[in-house]
Amino acid sequence: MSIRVAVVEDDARFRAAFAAAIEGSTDLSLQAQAPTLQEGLALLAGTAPDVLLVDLGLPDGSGVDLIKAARVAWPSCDIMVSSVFGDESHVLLSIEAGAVGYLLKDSEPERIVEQIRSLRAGGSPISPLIARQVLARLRPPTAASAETSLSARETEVLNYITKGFSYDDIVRLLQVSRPTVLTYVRRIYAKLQVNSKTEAVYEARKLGLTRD
Amino acid sequence: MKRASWALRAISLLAACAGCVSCTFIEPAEPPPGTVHLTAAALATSFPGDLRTPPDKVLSELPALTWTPVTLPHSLPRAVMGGGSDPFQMETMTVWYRMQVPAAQVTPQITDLYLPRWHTWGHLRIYANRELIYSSMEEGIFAAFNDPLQVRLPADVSATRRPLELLVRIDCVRATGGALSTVWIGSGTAMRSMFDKRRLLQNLVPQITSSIFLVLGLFALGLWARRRRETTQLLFFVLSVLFYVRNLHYYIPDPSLPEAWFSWLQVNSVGWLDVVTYFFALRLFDLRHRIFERILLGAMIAASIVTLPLGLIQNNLAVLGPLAYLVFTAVSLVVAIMVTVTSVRLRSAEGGVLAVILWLNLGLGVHDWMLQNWRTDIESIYMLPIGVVALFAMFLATLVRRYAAALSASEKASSLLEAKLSERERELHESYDKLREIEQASLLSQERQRLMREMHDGLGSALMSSLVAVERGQMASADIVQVLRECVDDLKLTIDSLEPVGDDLLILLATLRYRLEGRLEAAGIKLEWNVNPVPSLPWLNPTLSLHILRIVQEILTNVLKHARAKTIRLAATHDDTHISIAVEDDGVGFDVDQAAHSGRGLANLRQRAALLNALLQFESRPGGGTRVCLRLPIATADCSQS
Repeated sequence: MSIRVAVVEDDARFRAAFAAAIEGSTDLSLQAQAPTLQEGLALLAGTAPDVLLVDLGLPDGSGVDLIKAARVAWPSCDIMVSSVFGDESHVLLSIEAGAVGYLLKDSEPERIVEQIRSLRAGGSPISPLIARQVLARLRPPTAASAETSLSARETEVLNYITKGFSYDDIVRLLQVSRPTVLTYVRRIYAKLQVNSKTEAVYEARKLGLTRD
Repeated sequence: MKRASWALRAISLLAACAGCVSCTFIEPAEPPPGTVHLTAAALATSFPGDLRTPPDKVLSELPALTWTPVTLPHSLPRAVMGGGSDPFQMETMTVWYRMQVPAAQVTPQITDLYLPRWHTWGHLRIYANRELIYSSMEEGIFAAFNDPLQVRLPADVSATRRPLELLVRIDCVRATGGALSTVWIGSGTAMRSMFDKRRLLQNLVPQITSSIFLVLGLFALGLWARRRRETTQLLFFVLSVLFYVRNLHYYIPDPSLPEAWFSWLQVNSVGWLDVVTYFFALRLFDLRHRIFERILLGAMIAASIVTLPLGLIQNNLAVLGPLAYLVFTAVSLVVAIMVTVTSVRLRSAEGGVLAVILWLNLGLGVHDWMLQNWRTDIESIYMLPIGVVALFAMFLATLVRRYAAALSASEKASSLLEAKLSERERELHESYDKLREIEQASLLSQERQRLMREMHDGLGSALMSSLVAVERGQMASADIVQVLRECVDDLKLTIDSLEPVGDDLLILLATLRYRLEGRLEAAGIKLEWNVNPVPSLPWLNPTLSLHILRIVQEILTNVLKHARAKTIRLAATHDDTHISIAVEDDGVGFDVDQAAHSGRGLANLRQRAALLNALLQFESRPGGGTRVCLRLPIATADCSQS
């Protein structure tokens, strides 16, 4: 069974490049394409793909809104952000909205396919700068519950990432299997989302928007 | 507070006046029925007296004497004569007073005899119908001047309804003389009532007040021990001790201390009271008369030393006493005048009250001196112990006021300080905020300038030159891809350099690896990552970060482009002064010397390294791989900014 991918991207050339890369692979298939936020949201009514590739800078709105909606509509779908630079602020915003990885737009076709595969297998690699941000946000003193604070192993993994070690290096250094490391990474993504949700609830409560 | 101290003063003044008035009400002017007031007697004297022989219980017969009528109270003149300090060595005399009560007045109610005062240095004995009813010698009293006396008459006195003969025999030192008040006889309760009033005013009031003031003085001493600058507290303590010592003789007729020493204490304490009062008054006005203070202090010390009962002065103090008191009264007068003048000059209300009290006490002192020397009614009461209460109350009120004022002043000061502090804190906050704003603005402008420079010199010029070349059709498609790829790489580096990395060099290297990983993988090159923890670099700012990123990226892309390597090994290590980043490949290598002269690449790298104050070393030979090492100083780097 192939990995079904939906792409929401306003730039026709990038869209074409993604489509070409996906169609060129044996185990991926393109399920749907949309150039705007509205059309992207319309897709949510249909069948869920395995992977949704979203551009943040859509002409009629932010891709973050689409990510949030997709989280609800397609809970089993892995959401991936396509970004030109993969810079910290954009990526963190998408992860908190519900994305579990991101794709650099200048990647070569093989690289695109491979990143979609690894996302499906576990999670996108976390960049060192984002790892550092996550460490700062989810360190035990700031996060109260186990649901949102990092475990010792997860912290270790993030620390290695900030020092530039690859997942293979970490597998060797921690003497665990590759799937285990990928599980840690997946959990870290999940915790970031939960954390951002609790923060949002907290903020809303502070503003008096919700009742207990 | 002020009201309270005024009230205290008023009360003390009132008390003094009340004491003065009350003495005239102890004994009624007209004796009530059943009471006889004896104011006439017959007097006889003989020489020498007898201070040693115990009295006869019954007088069988009187020696042959010449009797002269006198009125009571009566005093015997003091004979001025020498004779050392031992009364038993001095000339003595015996004095007889005889009083007759007609039979008609000797009613059955008459059971007791009451003597308001007797004053002598010797013995007193009283006979009723020749039967001894009181002997001071048997009571163990030698010197008496302030004790009232109540004695029970023999039972048969009133029963027989005979005339009553009272005989008072005084044996005393001639130099001190003696005095006898009027005599009362009457019922036990009537006599007791008068006796008790006198006892209260003459003995108990001095005892109680001096004890209370001593306790207060100890409290003041405690305060002074904590705050040595408050000398008024110490003075108050000294005053209370002097007052206590001074008052002892009003209620201890026969102290266990040798008589000479006791007298010395009594007499000198009065002088010292004067001196300390003066010192206290000065402090009240916040004035100092250093010269006069020293003279007074010196004189008083000298007087105290000279009058020590060590034989310096032959005459006994009991004799010298009245003279000393005269001198002290003169000193009091000077003090009172000075306080009065100063109060008027400084318009000090407190000083005014003190002056009034001093004048009052001076008057009372004169009265007491006259009383002691029998120049006034000897049935009067010693008033100074009562008058000094007013002085004490005044001092106490002053101390309390000052203490309270100091407390509220310190409260005020601390609240003022608090206000000032919070004001200063607010100012500090403001200036800090302003400073931060400025800093932020300058950072922003620096960052903007840096980005402008980057775009202008790097990205902008690369894109521009490529554009020109493409327009002329001089660029192959592969070259265009190459140029655009480099532009994107540089853009990514610039964006990465915008992320705040703090002083962490490793995260820079990690980011670079993250960026290049895909391309290395695509080229089939394995990257061995051998970074060790390295010290933080305090000088690492976005500009210098970008330099480092570019140097390392250039080294890595050079390997990608030219080396045809299978493996790249990147190591980060450090010693005490430097962090080393070494990039080693197993590629084709090159001739370092030749490359240094021909290509611009190495020169560019060296230039960037120089901007970091870092060393860049190349080790390579054709066919033997390449090792590039960047050595960054830990402490100071930046020579580009200076």
